[in-house]
Amino acid sequence: MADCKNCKTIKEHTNVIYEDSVCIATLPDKGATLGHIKVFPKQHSHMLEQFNDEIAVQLLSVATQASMAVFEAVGAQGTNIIINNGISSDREHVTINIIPRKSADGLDFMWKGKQSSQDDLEKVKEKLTAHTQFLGYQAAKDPRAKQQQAPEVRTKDLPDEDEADEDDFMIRQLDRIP
Amino acid sequence: MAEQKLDQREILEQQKSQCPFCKIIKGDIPSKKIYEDDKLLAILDINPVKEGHILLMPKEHYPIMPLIPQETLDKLFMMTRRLAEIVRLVFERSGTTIFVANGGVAGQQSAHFMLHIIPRDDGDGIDNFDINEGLSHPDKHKELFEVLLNNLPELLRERYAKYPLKDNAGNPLSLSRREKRFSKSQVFGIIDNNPQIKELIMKEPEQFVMSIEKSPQLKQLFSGLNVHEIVKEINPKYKKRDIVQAEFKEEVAEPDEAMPIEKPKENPKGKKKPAKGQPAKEKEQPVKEPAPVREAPTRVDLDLISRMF
Repeated sequence: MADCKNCKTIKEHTNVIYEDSVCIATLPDKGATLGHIKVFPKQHSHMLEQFNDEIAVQLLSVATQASMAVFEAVGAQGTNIIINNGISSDREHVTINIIPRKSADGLDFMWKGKQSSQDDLEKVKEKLTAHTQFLGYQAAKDPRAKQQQAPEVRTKDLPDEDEADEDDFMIRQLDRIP
Repeated sequence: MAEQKLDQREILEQQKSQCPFCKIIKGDIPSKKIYEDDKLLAILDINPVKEGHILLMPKEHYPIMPLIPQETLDKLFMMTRRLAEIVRLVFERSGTTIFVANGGVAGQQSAHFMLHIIPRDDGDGIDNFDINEGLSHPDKHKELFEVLLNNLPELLRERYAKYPLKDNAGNPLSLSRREKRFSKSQVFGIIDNNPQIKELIMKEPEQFVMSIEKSPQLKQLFSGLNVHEIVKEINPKYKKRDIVQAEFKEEVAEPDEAMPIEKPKENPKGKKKPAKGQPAKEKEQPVKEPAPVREAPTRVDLDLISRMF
């Protein structure tokens, strides 16, 4: 935390353009280009996932507005919003980078994709949907969800059986009374 | 104007009819769907940067982010957080890159707004998302800073209301008050430009610190900053004190005693302390020295601070 650039910026309050109780937006002296804004949470956490939904929404909403504001302010032709979540120079403290873009600005974030076969993609899909099925909408349609419910039904029977045994035992006891 | 609007709508309708992603959403074009609900769809990118590269998009066709309604944006952001976690864990990576391109110049390849979520590791050979932060434009920076400082908080008024800053008593601070805040270096600059304040800090730093609490302008100057650190840097002889209930005058007179001594008879340390029953006399002696200096903070308040702002 002592070495963290973001925490230091929060403490010294340098170049702050917006602040609330959970996050802060700054216009650093040095950036990828003029107008590079950084939005980050006040809490020193290294991953976006460590924040709850509400705070994640707040962070990204602030970032969205900041991107619109800087777009107007510098007369940009586009904007990039980049979060290097848990990696690179931002690995210690979540940082949302907002970079206004103009043609021939010397920046290029594009990539060359790899062509993937349908089989490979299908395997990836299966791995991911095993987890995403629990995120809501898809769960109701997924047949695997019903199977998981089945065992619960069986366990409900067991206590009843125990009770039946007890009853028999009590009745048998009564028989022994002279 | 109405004609222009119609044209825009027509353009949008045309875009939608030709949009491959709208067709994917309808089911006309096959895709590998990862997550779907009433507002959003996540699919695999067929030309991924890396295994697990997904695209998250609103089902409705929005060419750019500013056109997306807040409710959909909120859902989009919530799912971004969750999908980033899933993608990272499933592929056992240290992190994820979340990438948005607004505008062709920024790399937006489709007119249908979407967000990329890519599982990543340091040193994985993917360097196009690295951000080199070497450029600086000192002259233009200041101008842009002022513009953004004026505009951004206003744009974020509603969002600020959800998580407002609070004062020591826990009361929410209004957004406009938050706009004027100074950095540490700015405060040093202001103090340098105001020799009276600097003199006060050099001669009576403890008094200066106390006067900050009483002056709203001084309070705003130092708001959010560590006053004691700043004063100490200017005057190394300054010692931070717990000045909870202590009488101001007594402090200056007897710097070694933090709290006023109640019973002079019990006096373990006090050599000079007279009887408590005569507080008036006690105060008379030390008052003479600090009296002229004590007036200084109020003069500073009214004249200097108003000029600073």
